[in-house]
Amino acid sequence: MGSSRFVIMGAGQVGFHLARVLSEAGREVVVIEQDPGRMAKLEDALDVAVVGGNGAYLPVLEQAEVSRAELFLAVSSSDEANMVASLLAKRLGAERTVVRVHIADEVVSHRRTYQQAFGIDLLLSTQLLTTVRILDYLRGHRTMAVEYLAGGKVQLRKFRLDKGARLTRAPLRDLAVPRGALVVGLFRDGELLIPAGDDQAQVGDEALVLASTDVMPRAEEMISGHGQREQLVVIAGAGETGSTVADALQGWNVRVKVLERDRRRARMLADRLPKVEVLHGDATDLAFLRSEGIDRATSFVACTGQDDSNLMASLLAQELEVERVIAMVERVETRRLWKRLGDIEIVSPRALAYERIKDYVDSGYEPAIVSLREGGVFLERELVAASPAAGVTLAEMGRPPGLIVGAVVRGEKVFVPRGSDRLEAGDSVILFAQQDGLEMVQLLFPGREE
Amino acid sequence: MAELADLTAEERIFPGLTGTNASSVLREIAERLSGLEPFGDAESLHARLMEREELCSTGVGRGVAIPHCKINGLQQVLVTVGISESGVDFAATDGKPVHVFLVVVSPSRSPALHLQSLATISRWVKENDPVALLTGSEDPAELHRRLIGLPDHD
Repeated sequence: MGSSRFVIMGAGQVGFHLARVLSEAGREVVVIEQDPGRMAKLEDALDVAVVGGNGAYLPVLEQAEVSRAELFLAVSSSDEANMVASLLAKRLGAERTVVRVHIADEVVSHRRTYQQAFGIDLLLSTQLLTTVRILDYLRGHRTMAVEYLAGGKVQLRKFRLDKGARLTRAPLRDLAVPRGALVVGLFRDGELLIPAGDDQAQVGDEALVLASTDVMPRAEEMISGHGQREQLVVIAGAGETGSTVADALQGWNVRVKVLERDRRRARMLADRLPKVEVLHGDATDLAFLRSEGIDRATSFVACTGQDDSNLMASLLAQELEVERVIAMVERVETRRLWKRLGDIEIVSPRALAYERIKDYVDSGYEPAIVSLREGGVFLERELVAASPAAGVTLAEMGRPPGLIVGAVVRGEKVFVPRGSDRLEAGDSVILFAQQDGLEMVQLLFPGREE
Repeated sequence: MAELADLTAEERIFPGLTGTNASSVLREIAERLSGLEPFGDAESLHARLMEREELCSTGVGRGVAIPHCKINGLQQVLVTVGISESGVDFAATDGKPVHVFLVVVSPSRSPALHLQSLATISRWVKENDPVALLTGSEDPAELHRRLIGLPDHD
């Protein structure tokens, strides 16, 4: 306890950068790495202790003295090993753990279950961070953070409000906030404001928006700086990222084309996403791009899974005068090179993971999108017959100070409740509570945080 | 909305509780209540109160707990006050022992009334110092007077 030792498992790009920043900040850093080449590089370049081996094994963790760790960071390339290592590190006495995985689905749908099972304090997915950032660029806004609730059915997002955001143009009451979405709070000058109908968001605020996953894309239209201008989005590559982005775009009012070199993969995506036009062909072939009318695209996303193909495809898209070009870049060290290419937005999964973890450390280990210290917390509660809120309408509940019932999940249905809506046993409710509302939560919505 | 004073009665003020944990102290209260008109069976009342405690403690801190449940056959919300001079470990939010139990029992058919009563009592607890007010006397009449705000009788 109290010793500021950091144990990092995996000295890939994320692990290496974290090791460097933390050791340069004067922290005691131990890195676990099994690759001899990487071990040598670490020892040469950084002032860190290196333990050879796989962090998913007990003796290796013991050798790294994980029991004295203030933070254990599992950022190796193996999702499974990262999770197992987190579990063991916690058992050995590590104060908190961060686990980086690739796949997004597990983080969206089962975050709490994984976190509980493996003792993970912060679970993040590079794929998820990547798709969120790409969609941000397409939409023209900035998602500061996303949190998934109710098994992924409900989303909570923190957006920065830039110039032109529709949300800033009128008092909330006069804006058509989509049904199923709620502007829960506005961060302004470091204060959290819980807005009433006559409050108005300002440029520079950060808006905390709660919405069902279906409705979030429409809520994002209120945040966007460039509204509905998006007409045709072309995605090069139907891999995990490309298909997740294409899937998310189905909820927006845009045309989507996906280019994929692999015939089988192209067909699979076409079957899965009927509203998306999937073309079989090579995104680095200018003639193909021209023949498919890619020059009419407003945005182009290069995520083929290979940096050199992405580079080529992005350059061609620029040549075809596509307005907005976004490229996924795996190798962080080439980022500066890419910047020379001018107006290409670079999305680097590892850089995003690194930034997210660094934020977590810098924030004093605040995993949530908003904390009590900042003004409030989101809580998820299952209503049972013995819950006093079961059987009561929101109007009957009145407005307990410091407590907002943000969303109700009833079976497959998700809604933002109004006065006449009655809560029922079996519902899952998403609550927003401020310090003075916590006692009401305890009494009216009994349950435990995991 | 009824105030706390309207929901209590001298006959439902139980000083001198001796239970040492949540289950035994709630059993004591349920047993004393079962002698009174609308409550009946102590066993089922105790089970209902415990069912709620198992979701999470009703110990709201500052030495106070607000155990509650709904039962059939009641006409109105009734609040019972139990007092333990030595304090009970009740897993309260602030970890401190609980001395004052404000037990809310409501008719099953009135969930809204139940909820509103809890809100009222929670407010009352915030605005007062229940432990100072309700400890140091073994006399229900005296305690009831203090609760409803009458001057001490001497």
